[in-house]
Order: sequence, then structure tokens, then C-alpha cells
Amino acid sequence: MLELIKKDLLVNSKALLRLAAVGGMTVILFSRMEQGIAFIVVWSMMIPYIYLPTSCYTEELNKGLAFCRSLPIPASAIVWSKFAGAVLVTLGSGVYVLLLAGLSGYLGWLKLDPSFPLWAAVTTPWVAVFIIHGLFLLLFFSYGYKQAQSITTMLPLLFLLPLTFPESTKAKLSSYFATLFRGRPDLRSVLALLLAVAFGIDVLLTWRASKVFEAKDVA
Amino acid sequence: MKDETLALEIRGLTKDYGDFVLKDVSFSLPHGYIMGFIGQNGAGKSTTIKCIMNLVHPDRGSVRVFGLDALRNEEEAKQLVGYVGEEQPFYDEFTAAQTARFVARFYSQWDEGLFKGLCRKYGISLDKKVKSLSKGTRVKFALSLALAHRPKLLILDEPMSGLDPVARHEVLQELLDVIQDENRSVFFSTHIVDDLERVADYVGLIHRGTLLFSREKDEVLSNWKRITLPAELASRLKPYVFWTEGALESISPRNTPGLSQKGRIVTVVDRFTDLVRDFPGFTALSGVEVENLGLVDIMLITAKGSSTWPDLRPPVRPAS
Repeated sequence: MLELIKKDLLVNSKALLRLAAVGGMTVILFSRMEQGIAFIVVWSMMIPYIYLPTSCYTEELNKGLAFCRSLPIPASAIVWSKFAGAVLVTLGSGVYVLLLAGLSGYLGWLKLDPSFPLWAAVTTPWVAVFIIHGLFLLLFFSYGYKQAQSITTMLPLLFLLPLTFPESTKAKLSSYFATLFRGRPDLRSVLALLLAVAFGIDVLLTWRASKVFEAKDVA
Repeated sequence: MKDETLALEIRGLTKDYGDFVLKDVSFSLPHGYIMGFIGQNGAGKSTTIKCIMNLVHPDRGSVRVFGLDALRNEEEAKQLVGYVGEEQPFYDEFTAAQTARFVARFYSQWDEGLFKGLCRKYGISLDKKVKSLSKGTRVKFALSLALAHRPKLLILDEPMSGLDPVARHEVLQELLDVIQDENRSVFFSTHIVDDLERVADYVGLIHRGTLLFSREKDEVLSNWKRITLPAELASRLKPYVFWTEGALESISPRNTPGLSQKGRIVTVVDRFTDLVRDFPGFTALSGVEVENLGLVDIMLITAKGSSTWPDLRPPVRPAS
């Protein structure tokens, strides 16, 4: 498993470094803006969001799945290594973005909103990242890169769907969520709950992907 | 020293793709022998090999590698197998050395010294990226990787397809050296039947998803013969015939004295030793000609032939 994760990180190291460089520059340069924290949110999501499809694309381009399956490697290890690599990159990008934000704060550029702390800015997008990763893995190991990419690219658009709802429905939804979260002690526990649920969904979808891949012909 | 263990045992292997069906393929290969697996494109050679490697999941049947169920104990079985496919899918961004390091981790018997020795012999620069290797070198690199864990069974799936004639010749020379090691069993699928004929102990011929035979090569070559004979004798051959060439050809008495107005027929038998045993003196009969067939001929005949018994009546001669 570790060898597979290492292989993925090495094969995709250039793409990962490019992402980190662009993300780093963006976070630092735009942190002076009034809503500079938005770039921290975006890049905490973008690096892992782009990494997994890139890694799967490289796999498909090099026929890596057939290569790995011709070696004594269980099919499930290939799937779980993708999952683990993606989690590692998600955590790593969080630390990286936190460091950049720290640097920007040290320079006096980044202005923080006390109601939305830095750790929340970094971890909130992971709720979407975990769900999208799980779905991507399931689609990739079931149907290949193209289908997985086209579906998961469109997925974030679903989050815009409530904007099209009638005003009365929007009000009802707001009131429902307000009631739902009213009993919660703080942002930390709400976020922890959401992250746990999203991570659970990621694990479940990856488990399903491994079952699909075990039964799939790769050549 | 060869032993009696079966290196490979396939029973009832079946895979249905809808437009192509691999039908109930069964054969075995004793340890220390070489089996050539031949057949035209699309006959089912690669599908069989991919089923053996569990890259393709068979609908039915079993695959045993040195007694191990290769489908259930896949990782253990693959430790015993070196595999070179018709394509060599490597990570292009990796150097040859990085690829080897990656592969080595998965084999308990990996021999780094042997691997480096093979790379030196084949002229492979380990610091080059895999994508910069020529096609021929890529095949040699794949072969080095497949051999470096000292596999007891080597499976080669048309590794030379797509190579130019020079690269093909080079790779073939290396392959012939490798596959003649008596401590190793080799299952070798190829189009280059001439070379296979030199080294194979067993031959399997697959046609349209059906294994036509899997036998010792010498047995195949002594049983498959092309026989030209007078048409009136042809009915005696019926149980031994695999194929008969087209319609009857009439011959001129001037060209073949002794046959008068009778027709001659060209036929291929696949049970010649039985024929000779059942009809002693058959080959000495007037007008009977027996011709040896090579594996190429047999493959061509199965590709175009049919096993249906043709109309053996002499041709109707036009009224003069």
C-alpha cells in the first residue's frame, strides 16, 4: 500500500508542485484583499480536488491499472492507495495553506474574521472534497476517467441549485437549518460532525469502488 | 532435471464477451517445458493469458499455477509468474530504475543483481525515463523485470507484436535464450510460429475461441499431414480428416498417368499415426502423396479451413 501511495505521489509530483506553486502565489498575493480568506478556502479545496483526478488520469494514460494488476498487488490495495494518497494530499494541502496564511498574517496582509477562524477556513471545504473524492473513485474504477471527471466536475454546480429555488422555499430551508444547528454548542462541533459524515461517505464509496474494481476486467 | 509438477493447469476456461466467446479451454503444461500458444488475431490467445493473469475474470473455469488456484490465491500465484504482455504499460514519467524499484517491492524473491545483469546485457540505461526507451528496449526491459524475481513460470503474450523487423529479431534472440532454461516453464503466445517451432515442447492451437489441440509438438507434427490422393480412396480417410481443400479438382490423365478420368483430392489429416496404424500400406498406394506440415501450415489451414466433410463425388465431366 505504502509503495503504491509513494508511486502515485512520485508520478504526479510535477502536477502537485505546479498546483502548490500556483496556490501558494494566489493565497499570498490575494490575502491583502478584504476577503483574502476566501483564497485560503479555495486552495485548501483546489489542491486535493485537482490531485485525485490528475492521479487517476495519469493511471489511465499509462495503463497503470493493468500494469499494477499484472504484479502481485490486490485490486483493493490499488483503490485504497488512491484513497489514502488523496487523504494525505488533503491534509498536506491544509497544513501548506495554513503555513501560507500564517506567513501572510505575519506580513500583516491577511485580515482574519474572528467569527470564521483560519482552521475552519481550511477544513470546511474538505466536507465537499471528501464526498467528491469518494464519488470520483467509484466512478473512475467503474467507468473510467472521462465519466468520473465529467460527473464530478458538474457536481459542485449542484451547490448553486438552491439559488434557483423560490423565495418561500429558501426561507423554509434557512429556518430548517437554523433549527438544526441551534442546539449545537459551536462551529467546531458542527464542522467536526460534517467532516465525519463526509469522510464516512468517502470511505463507503471507496469500499464500493474496491469491490467494483475487484470484479472488473482491466485489459 | 524436469519434474512432473504441472506448472499450469487450465480447466474449462470460459469468457463470454457477446461478440466473442472463449469456449471451455482446457490444457496443462508440465514444469520445465515450453508451450507455444498459436492462433490468428482474435482467436483468443490474449484473452486466455489475461484470464490466467486474472486481468480478465473468466465466467467459468479454473487456473492453477503449480497447484495454486491462481484466481483465489492471486498474489501467491503471481509470485511464481513472470509476465510480459503484448503492451508494456509503464509509468512514462518514471526512469527505468524507479520502475524497477517499484516492481521489486512486490516480489519476495527479487534478485537485484540478476536484474542489473540483464539490463547490462540488453543495453538498458536505468537512468533513462521509460518513455524515452525504444519499443524493442521496452520489451527487453519488461523481460528483465519479469525475470528478476526468478519466476518458475514465464508467460509471454506476443511480446514482439508491433516491433520493426530489426528490433523483433534482436528481442527474439534474447527470448530464445531465456525460454530455453530448463528450470523454467514457459507459456508463449506468438505469431512467429517458425521460431516457436524450434523451441516449443508443446503446442496449443486456438481458433475462434476454441482450443483445437494442445499436444506435444512432435506429436502434432507427426499427426498433421497433407495428403493428396485419388478421390475414390478419400472416403476411407473420413475419420482422420481435419480439412479438405475446396472442391474436387479434375486432373488430366496425361499429367498423372494411372489415374485415368478420376479426380484427385487434397486433404489434411490430423490423425495420421492412427491412419497408418489402421491402414498399413496406405501411404504406398498408387497416387497417394503425403506431405509434412509445419506449424505455420497448420495455423493457416485452421484459419481458413472447416471441419465439415466435403462432397467427395468425382467431378461431373462435361460431355465432349
